[in-house]
Amino acid sequence: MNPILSDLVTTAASKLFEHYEFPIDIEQVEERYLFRYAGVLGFTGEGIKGTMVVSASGPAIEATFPDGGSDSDREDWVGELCNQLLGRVANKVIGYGLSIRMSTPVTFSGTDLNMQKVEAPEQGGWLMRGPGEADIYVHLAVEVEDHVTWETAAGAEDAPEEGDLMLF
Amino acid sequence: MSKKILVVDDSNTIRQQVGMCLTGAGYTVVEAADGVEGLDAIKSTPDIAMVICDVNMPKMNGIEMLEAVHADGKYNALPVIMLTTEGQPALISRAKKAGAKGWIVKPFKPDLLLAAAKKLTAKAA
Repeated sequence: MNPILSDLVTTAASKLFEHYEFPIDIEQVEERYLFRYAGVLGFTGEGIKGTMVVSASGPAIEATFPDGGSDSDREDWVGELCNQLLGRVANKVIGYGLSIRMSTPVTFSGTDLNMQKVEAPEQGGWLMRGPGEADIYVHLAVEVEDHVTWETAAGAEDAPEEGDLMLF
Repeated sequence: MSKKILVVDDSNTIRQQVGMCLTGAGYTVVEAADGVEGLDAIKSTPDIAMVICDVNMPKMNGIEMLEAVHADGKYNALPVIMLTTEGQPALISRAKKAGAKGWIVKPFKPDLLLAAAKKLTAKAA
């Protein structure tokens, strides 16, 4: 996995879960995991496309969204975590001259889920462990065209920081 | 009578979180799950004081809804703020041009959302 993208994912995840007061240890892993709940988002832009999967155990959902009671709420929430995590990454790649449009999330839940072959030129997985059985797995599969150099784009406007309010 | 705020987001859990924040501060909340439902709610609920709207939604996205709302001169005074994971300057400019009064990148901070609601609903009154 491209080290810049890898760093963007782990930094975004740390900051996102910090917002939800959910401390995590992040480890890049080769093995793939799927916990009880999962959300998938596709994205595309000029020179880049891919998918992100965020999967969370029940305790991880409870830790980040304590008010979610039903299974349907929990599925919705894992989709929203995927949306917020990919959104943070998308807002940071603007600085490299990339513009990403995201789909709306597709979510599912189940037991004994597993992710097998994923076709993508580049992919990476990160296991994020919180207290107890509160585990989250993030998988990013991406195809980047050769002309994307990952150099900071001169004059690129910064996206606003998450949580900030801009009034016009 | 409490002021009424329309929350448009395809995520039920985000509508719940925003709703809890607003109702806890004394607002009445009306919900819609996409831009089409949002537009219908604006047209069928005459006393909406403000709209909080996501961008990426099925059927009609939040920017399209905003453009449709302000295409009808009747709702020019209705303040709309966007609450979204998107932060692209081009999208923010498009929303501003379409009449949005604010932009918040998720996840939101409740105190800032309430500050925006207080300021924009006071203007609308």
